[in-house]
Amino acid sequence: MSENTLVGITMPKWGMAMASGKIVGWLADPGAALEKGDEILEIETEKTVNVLEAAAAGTLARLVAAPGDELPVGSLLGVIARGDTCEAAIDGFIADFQASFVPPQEGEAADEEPRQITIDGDITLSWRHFPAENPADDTPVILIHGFGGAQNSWVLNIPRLGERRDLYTLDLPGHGGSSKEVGDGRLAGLAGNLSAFMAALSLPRAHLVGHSLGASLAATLAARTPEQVASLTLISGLGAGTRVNRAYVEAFLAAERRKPLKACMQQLFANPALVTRAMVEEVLKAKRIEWAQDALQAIAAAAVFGPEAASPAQDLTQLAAPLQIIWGREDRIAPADQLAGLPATAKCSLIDDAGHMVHMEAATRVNDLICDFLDRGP
Amino acid sequence: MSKKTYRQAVNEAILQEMRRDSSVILIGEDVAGGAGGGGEDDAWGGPMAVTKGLLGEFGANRVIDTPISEAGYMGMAIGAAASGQRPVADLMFNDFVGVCFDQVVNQAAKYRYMYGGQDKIPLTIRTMIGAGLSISAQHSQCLYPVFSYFAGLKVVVPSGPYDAKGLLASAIRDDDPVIFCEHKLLYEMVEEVPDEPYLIPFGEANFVREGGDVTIVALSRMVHIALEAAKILAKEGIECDIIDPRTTTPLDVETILESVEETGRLVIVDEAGPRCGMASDIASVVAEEGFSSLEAPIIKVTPPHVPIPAAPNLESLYIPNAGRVVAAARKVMAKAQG
Repeated sequence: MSENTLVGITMPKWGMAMASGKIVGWLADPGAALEKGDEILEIETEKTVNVLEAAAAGTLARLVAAPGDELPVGSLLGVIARGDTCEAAIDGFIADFQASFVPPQEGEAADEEPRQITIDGDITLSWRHFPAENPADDTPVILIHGFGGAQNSWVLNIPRLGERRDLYTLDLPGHGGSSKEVGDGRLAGLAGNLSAFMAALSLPRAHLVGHSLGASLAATLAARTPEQVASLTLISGLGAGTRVNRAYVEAFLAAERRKPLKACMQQLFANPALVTRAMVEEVLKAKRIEWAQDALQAIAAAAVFGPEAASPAQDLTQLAAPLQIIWGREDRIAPADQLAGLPATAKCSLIDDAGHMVHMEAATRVNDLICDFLDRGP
Repeated sequence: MSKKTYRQAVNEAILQEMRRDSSVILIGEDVAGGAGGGGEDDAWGGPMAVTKGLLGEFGANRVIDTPISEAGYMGMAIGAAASGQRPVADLMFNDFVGVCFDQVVNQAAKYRYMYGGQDKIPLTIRTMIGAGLSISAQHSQCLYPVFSYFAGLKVVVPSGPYDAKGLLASAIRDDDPVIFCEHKLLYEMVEEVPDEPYLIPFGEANFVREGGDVTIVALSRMVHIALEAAKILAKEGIECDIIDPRTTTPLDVETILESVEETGRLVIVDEAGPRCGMASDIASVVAEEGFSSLEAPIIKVTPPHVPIPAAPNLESLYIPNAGRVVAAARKVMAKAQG
């Protein structure tokens, strides 16, 4: 009986600020037979509650962590056994792990700071690179967040997508740590910024994964400079002409305090309980910055209330890049019914019990869909 | 975004508001650096170097050093505010308000009301509060409860650099007189602060920590004492909500009541005295409006009702510490369970 028949389940690191997580509850019973990817444990972080999947097939041999435990990243939560193992071996495995485990020190848990790059003369973009050790191919993946968001909205996707792909994230102009100059706020201008961003990082071609406004930008870029786009994954957004809930955008722009903003953000999820105080506080901090508010107004004026909202929906059949579309069935911001009549060539997935933030609310499903799509094509 | 001290955050808020609006002017003792003291005017920027660099950019017409006469320059600032400027007056130590009390509470606070709204006083008074530097009874008080007594004044007590910058920008743009209380022991505190201007609205408390067992309301520097206590209590299985009201007028009663409704237990940590202070005030509001939620008596953690000692050993006994907050939280928990 060798040690490699036992696999530790450890506290994951979801996002740069995560230093510890709290066990909400086990979703599998001791002794359960597990497939890789089975949901085994619910974990609460400062930002959200998410499900941990089995990293290996086997038997759930031991639960080490109990509901309510708050444990640092990397801590042993349970043990999966493959093949025949005895209790003594499991005890030994746990004892060895605990003896050698050093919890990350305060401050150590934080990843490196986002980097800054200047494009088009005077626009500074905040970005991050998550290099893969053995990338599946040379083409990197760029994750593009939505309206009022920031690159850290991909926290639940980065670890999985980054396993075998070189990943880049950025804060769009007007958002997060990037400069707040957005010109007329139209998709064409922002897509041009994205194109310049790729050029500045010497990325001739990338797989684009965009959410909402980010999806519209990815589709716009794919139409303008197809040579830069290896594939397109559009989440909760379709390009120019995507129908969005104007009342939501108005309320989001107007919200200056925690309560109205929380009510607004709850519309982003099928399950409103997922909106935590910390999440609201983070968005509020970003929105308070005067120039960011101006930028959001400009983008909304063009893309939501202005000419681009009135324009006919972008013809996605004209795109050369392989296309996949992912949507939450309960999306209250961009209604899912607009998926009807999409090109048959697109791989389309409608996800139950998920709203506009489907990549957070159903992160596991969305990560699977993206990985499959990138590996196999539509 | 970059890490900034509380001092830098305050300086940056003034700088950005002065660039944005030419009616923003600075008035006070030593704001430029000790007029008549010789040497380079711009070298000092007040006793804590908070206004350093502003004279160089904006000149002596907008950064106005005054003689040592609080009544004189406060009257000058109120007059300037009434006639269209947006002054930031520097009342060095809040203890000195005694010298210009009439100007602040009878003139500035009541002007708009008594003249039927025909005029306004968009004045910000920056002032230092708090004990801990052993600079004695006349330089160490927390007088924000006194300011909060007067209708017509808004009162701000920022507990960190991020709040200091956003709240000061809001204070300067506010059309009413605002007393902005900077704790002198916080000037070296460092935090991520956006480089761009941003506004934090008055009357919205900061929910600093979510716990669910005990509500701790703490003001200014006491927020950090409460956080220290919460860490100790968490090891015992007691999880604290910590609420920083940010402004004492307007006071975000709603957030406090919301938290107490969940926890049923309230500890208030205030560096101002135990009588007629913010702790008493908040306790009275919760007793009146949230009594049915309470499962234990409210506990106030404040200094004793004495002048602040200058001797360091006595002064440290005077200031509320984490141990006292921990003891208070244990006591309300025991009451609730028993």
